[in-house]
Amino acid sequence: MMSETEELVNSIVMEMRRGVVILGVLSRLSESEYGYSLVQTLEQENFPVEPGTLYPLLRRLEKQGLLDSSWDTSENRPRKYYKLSDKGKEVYKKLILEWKKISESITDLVESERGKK
Amino acid sequence: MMELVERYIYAVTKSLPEKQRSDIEQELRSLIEDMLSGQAKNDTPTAKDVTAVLLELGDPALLADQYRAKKSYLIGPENYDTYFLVLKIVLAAVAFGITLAMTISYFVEPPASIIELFAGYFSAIFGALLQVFAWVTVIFAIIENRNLPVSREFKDEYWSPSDLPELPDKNLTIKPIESIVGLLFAAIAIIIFNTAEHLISIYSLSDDGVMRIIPLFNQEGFRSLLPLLNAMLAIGIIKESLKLVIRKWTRGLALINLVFNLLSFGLFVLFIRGDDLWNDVFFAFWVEAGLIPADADPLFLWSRVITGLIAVVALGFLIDSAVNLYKSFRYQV
Repeated sequence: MMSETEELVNSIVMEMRRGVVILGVLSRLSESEYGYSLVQTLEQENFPVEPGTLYPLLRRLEKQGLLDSSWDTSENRPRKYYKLSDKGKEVYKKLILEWKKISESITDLVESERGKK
Repeated sequence: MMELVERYIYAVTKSLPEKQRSDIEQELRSLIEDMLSGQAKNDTPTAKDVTAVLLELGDPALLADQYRAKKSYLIGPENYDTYFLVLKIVLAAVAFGITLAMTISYFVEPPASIIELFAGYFSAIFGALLQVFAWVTVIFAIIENRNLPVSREFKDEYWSPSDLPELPDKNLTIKPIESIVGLLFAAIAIIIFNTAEHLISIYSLSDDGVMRIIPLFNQEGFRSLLPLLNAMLAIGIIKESLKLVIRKWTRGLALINLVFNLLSFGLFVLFIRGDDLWNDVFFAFWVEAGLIPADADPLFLWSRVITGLIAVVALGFLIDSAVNLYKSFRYQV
């Protein structure tokens, strides 16, 4: 059984991750990847994203023009590969800057609070 | 075993848009195969492996929700409450009106049997309610489809604080019950005037116990003037519906109210002063019953009654228009 605080922490952490999952996904797509290999890479990098979340997200990003896709049918299992488009690259660069700003501000906030004590 | 996988894929994609379906199907299939080969110790996955993988992917309905960018509704949450309110009012008004009309016609022309009566009643009411339900739903579905929220005040794409609705002034609020009663009366009046106008009569019991029924209207004259009356009642229905939706005496609504009242009054005068509206027998009856002296001219007296009636109606419309116009200008911030 999870305690109530643990449950609360879990749900807040999930919300935090939901905000940055796009950044995590874009960071691994400068080279073509298919869905399941991406699931595995993200897991190895300690940022696991469930396939049920990742697959629909990849389609959404493609629809928004951030990713290009192509089917590779040469192997025995046909796979859809995704890659950053030019627009996606531009957006990704800006997102990194934003993420750094957020990360720095939050770090400052948390550190200064600790310093007071 | 692979059948379970196909069933899972079908469950996810069956409600997704046709265009994306085959693409998602294929992608899901290769995903599941990849997951299976990760899961299985040997080359051929067991039933247990399949179950584990499908459980990891989760409820297919939730996965399908993820694939759908936005929810689509026939009538969305924004308009649903208004839809339901309008539906309730209109259905109640129609059911009540038909019941009343059928009750009256039962006394006028009793049907051959009780069964016939009930069969007629239920088929009439069922048909009418179904029609009303369909029309109201279609209208709201169009509103939803065009993205027109009816319960929200119209606003531009960019919200600004000046868009905030004003705090309701007690003097300006319109109680829904007023409009609902108005709508009910208008619906009943339309049904009676269009289906049972001959019932508006003088019912007199003579000394020998025979009932005399003297219709107030001359049927032919009434029929030709009926469109005027219907137009007037329709204006009334539109007016009450507007009041029900806006719920507040805005200046615009008060002005519309004035215009509608003027139109209604004009139609009323045209109707009541129309040619051959009244039944001649009705006048003869007055003299016969000794209600007026034999030498008096019933037509002249009647025209005085009509003039009086017009004056009363004019006063009613005038007060309604003026009071609401005054209110809307006086209390509006």
